[in-house]
Amino acid sequence: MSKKNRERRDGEAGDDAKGGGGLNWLPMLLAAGALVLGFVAWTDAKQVKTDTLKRLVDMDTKLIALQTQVANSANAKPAPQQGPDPNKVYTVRTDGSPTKGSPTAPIVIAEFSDFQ
Amino acid sequence: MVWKNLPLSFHPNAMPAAMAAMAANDQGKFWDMHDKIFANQQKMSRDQYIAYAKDLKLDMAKFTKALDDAALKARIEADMADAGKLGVSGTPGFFVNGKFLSGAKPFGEFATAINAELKRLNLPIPPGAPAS
Repeated sequence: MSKKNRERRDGEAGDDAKGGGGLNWLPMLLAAGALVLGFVAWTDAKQVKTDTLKRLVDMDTKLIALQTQVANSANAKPAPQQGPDPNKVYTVRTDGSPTKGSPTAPIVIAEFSDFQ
Repeated sequence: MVWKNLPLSFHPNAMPAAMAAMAANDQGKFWDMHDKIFANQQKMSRDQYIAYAKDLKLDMAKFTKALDDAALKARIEADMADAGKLGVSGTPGFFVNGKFLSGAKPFGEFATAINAELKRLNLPIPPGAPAS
């Protein structure tokens, strides 16, 4: 053992001697501090656990809602088609409209359009 | 070929242009006015339409009166109502013997639709007609 360490031990022994063998305030304070810190850490951990659980429950709820939504959209009818059905035959009113070509042509193309 | 007016609401010049074209139609010059408006789409204005009408030697008193004619506007709105009933919401929208073709389709799609109709009607496809 080094000389330095021995000196420190000597010093501690001296302190004990001064305390007269009764309860020393320093370890007591340290112990109390440790207890307080431990309690704070424990409540923190408890809080984190509570928060985490709450978030998990929230996520579960959202997940279930999402599953329901996906299931509903899968069951839903396909989105209504944009515009007329290309497989149907429509009647387009043509009286009074500008025309080009033979009025008796077997094929009539009606164009809905604008100029801009 | 039949022209149906569908001036879209977000095209501010479309309705006045349709009015000008239909005003010319009343004097038998729809397609001439149509071609002039389309050829100058970047300058669409009442003054332009009046200039085209002069070029086409239209009766100017009749033409300018027609530009603001409520009955003429009602005819255009009737076309728009037809479009609404048929479900046409964009331009251009074509019906080939009642069968819908949406948008500015490549020529081949028209050839296909027309040839299919000719076949259905047991009509010969004219020699030299574009194949589908």
